[in-house]
Amino acid sequence: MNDPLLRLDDLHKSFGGLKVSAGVNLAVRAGETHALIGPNGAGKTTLIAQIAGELRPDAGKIFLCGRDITRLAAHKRARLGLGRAFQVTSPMAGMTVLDNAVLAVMAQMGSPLRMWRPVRGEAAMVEEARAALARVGLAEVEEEKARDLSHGQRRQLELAMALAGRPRLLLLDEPMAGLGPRESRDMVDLLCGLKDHYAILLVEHDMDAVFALADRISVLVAGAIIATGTPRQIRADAAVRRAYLGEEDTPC
Amino acid sequence: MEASGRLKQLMRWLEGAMMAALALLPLIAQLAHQPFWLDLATRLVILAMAAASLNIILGLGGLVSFGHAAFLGIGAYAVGIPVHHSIYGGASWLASDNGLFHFALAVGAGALFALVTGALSLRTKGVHFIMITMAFGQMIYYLLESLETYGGNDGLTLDVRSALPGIDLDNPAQLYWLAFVILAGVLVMTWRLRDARFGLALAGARENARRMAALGHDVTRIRLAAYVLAGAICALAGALMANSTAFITPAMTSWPRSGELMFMVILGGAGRILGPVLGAGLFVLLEEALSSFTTYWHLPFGLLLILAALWQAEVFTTRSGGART
Amino acid sequence: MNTALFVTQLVNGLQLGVLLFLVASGLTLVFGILDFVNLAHGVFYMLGAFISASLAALSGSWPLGVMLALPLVALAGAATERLVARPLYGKSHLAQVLATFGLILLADALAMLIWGVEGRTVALPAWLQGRMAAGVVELPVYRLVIIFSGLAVAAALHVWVHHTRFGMLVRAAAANRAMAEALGVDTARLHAVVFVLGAVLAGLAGALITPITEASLSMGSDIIIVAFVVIIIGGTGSLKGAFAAAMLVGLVDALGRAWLDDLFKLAFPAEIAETAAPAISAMSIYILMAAILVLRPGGLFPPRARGR
Repeated sequence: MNDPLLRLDDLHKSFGGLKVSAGVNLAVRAGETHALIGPNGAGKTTLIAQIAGELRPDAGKIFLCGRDITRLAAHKRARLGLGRAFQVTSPMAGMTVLDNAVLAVMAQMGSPLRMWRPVRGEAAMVEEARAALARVGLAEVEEEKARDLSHGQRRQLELAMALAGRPRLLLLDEPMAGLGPRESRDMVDLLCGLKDHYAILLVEHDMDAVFALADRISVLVAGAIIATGTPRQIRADAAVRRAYLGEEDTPC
Repeated sequence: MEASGRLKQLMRWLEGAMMAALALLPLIAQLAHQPFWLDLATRLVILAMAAASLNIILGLGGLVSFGHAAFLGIGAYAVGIPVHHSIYGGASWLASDNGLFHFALAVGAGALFALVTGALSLRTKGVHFIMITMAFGQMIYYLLESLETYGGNDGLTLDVRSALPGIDLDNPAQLYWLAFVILAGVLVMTWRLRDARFGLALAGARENARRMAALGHDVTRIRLAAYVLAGAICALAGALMANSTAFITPAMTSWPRSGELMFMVILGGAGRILGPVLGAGLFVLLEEALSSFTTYWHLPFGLLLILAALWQAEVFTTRSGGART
Repeated sequence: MNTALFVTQLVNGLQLGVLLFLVASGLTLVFGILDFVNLAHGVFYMLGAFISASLAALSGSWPLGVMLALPLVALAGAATERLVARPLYGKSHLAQVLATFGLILLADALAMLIWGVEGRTVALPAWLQGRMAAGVVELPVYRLVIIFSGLAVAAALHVWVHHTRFGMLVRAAAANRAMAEALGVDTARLHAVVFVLGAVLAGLAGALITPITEASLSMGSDIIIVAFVVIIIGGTGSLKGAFAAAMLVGLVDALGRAWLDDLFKLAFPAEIAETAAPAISAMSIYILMAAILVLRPGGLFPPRARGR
């Protein structure tokens, strides 16, 4: 119960001479929405890639639900409960929205090597896919091709795919990126609705969203976490202000 | 292919007509006193089966495998070698004219070769994958060439055909119908497969393998399963081919043959269930028509390929959502 | 183990390696920089052979024939790049494969029309015939000439790529094509030069091998696969890799063919050795490729993941 859902233990990663992760320590507790913020170039993308399993850290460990996943392949992490929404939307573009969601559900539901029964006939799977789409508001467009969606809808699909796999931890990489003011508000509402059901690691630049959603915030600067705390604590932290928010800025 | 509704209807009509004609072909050939048509149709049906197997990995899976003809050779020699020994002695564990043994051996050898080479090749993608599959295919070519006992480059004549219970493969019509029934079975399998979990997962991996992995799918395992299935089916086609022509050579496995199979899949519409039949039909007819004009028929054929590729390049690229292998 | 045989086979292996490098070097650059699958690269090899043979017969001088053949091969390369390759850059690999496959069929048919079905042989000028004594063995002079020419070309390529401005642009484009374009490099010209250079090198290899074997219609198709094996082992886009891999492949092939027989006879009964040895030696370079792939899927010098 007290074990964090995700724990990063002194992660190090270098590319040639460039140190991108310099001993990162982070923990996401069950049920908490933990935001990761930091200036551009801080190493957020590399960190996400290591958590997701696309990059192997040079040193350090990653624990998911108490299990050491440092050397575990990316697809196995998803099976263990890691749901991911990409920063640059990445659906199966030529397939329908429903098919995208079905694929997400299928990954958690037995073998993909079934060759006879039509997928659309598997009521349980299709219903669950539809539920995920409904949760993000994409029910109407289930037969549209993913590449024909608007930017906002693609963001919603990203979320749906992350949710459809029944994750325990959601890894959301800039879900607000490129959204207009109204769409942003909708997305924040949507994410608010998810807070109670999932642990979330939220990487974001949009400070309004961060302070509205986060239970705790970690600040990543030059490959290391310089502060972790509640939004109030982070607002007040002088080092954070200096490094990231800037002296003049008073986020609302 | 984003064909317009009209074109799709035309294709469907053509495919249907072709299947009906093929089903009745031995009768048609007999009525028209053209036994040659039966020869042509047998070749068509067998090539269609090979193309249909390639359609699974290329059409559905988006894997540009350029060594697929190797399986035809594996299947063919899985018949030729046992037959050779059954007549000329030696290797008694292998000697047999039992057709069921031949077919089982063909499918088994094809699946095994696909498993081993697929496991290695599928660690790569894009340009590498194409080159590696080509190299493995060519490896089989050189292997078969080096086997002097079985004729090497000169090829191997089958003095008897596979003995099957109840079916006489020396009868061209019976052989044809056996091949046709198997082809039909393969097509039904592809059809069901495409709409089942496996087909969806294959298509998903084709569209965006990275996302599929992030969702939790073991993309390599899915592709390997497809690769093994395709190899096994193609080897079966090879076994039928050996029985049909009663003469096999390593040249069956050379990489230009793989290119022709690929051409059939593309021409008929990659991913379409009956596409391989259409593609094989067009290829066989084209080959016949052009070669009756000139021995240099590769010239217009090659030109056609280039033009088709240039013209269709946009379609290929956008169809997979811009995703490259 | 017969020293004379060993040295002879060593020389054969080196010669094969050098020729493979000439063919593979251009191809690996085309793969690495242009991301273009050129199945038809072997056509230039074949053209170099046939054109040099014909020009040698016409002019009466083989060296002249070779020298005049190269610009003609360059022309063929330029035409191919402009008409077939360029429209397909960035397009699906499948389209590239089909187009270049069609090109092979077209070129082979044309070659058959022009030169007929029989191969063409070429006689070496007297001063290149003959053998040279090197300790225990006598080695054909010409093979040594090939080896040294090939090494000279490899050295020249190295200097060009690492010590000239254009070579630097080539390296930049190989490392990160999009960035090179963003920096204003004239990529169209770069692509054309790389493509044509590759064609000429392949043509040179074809011209050099002709006096030993002959110019034949199937030589292009035969060499392209081995070139692919070399590139797979060496790593796409890497000249260093192409050189190392070419030498490795050449030596494994030559030494394997000579010695696998004896090696097998040591370990297995004669009957098995007799069938297995030629089979395994025919597959030797593919087995080598598979072994390397198990350990390093990207080859000896894999392309870097970033910046593609």
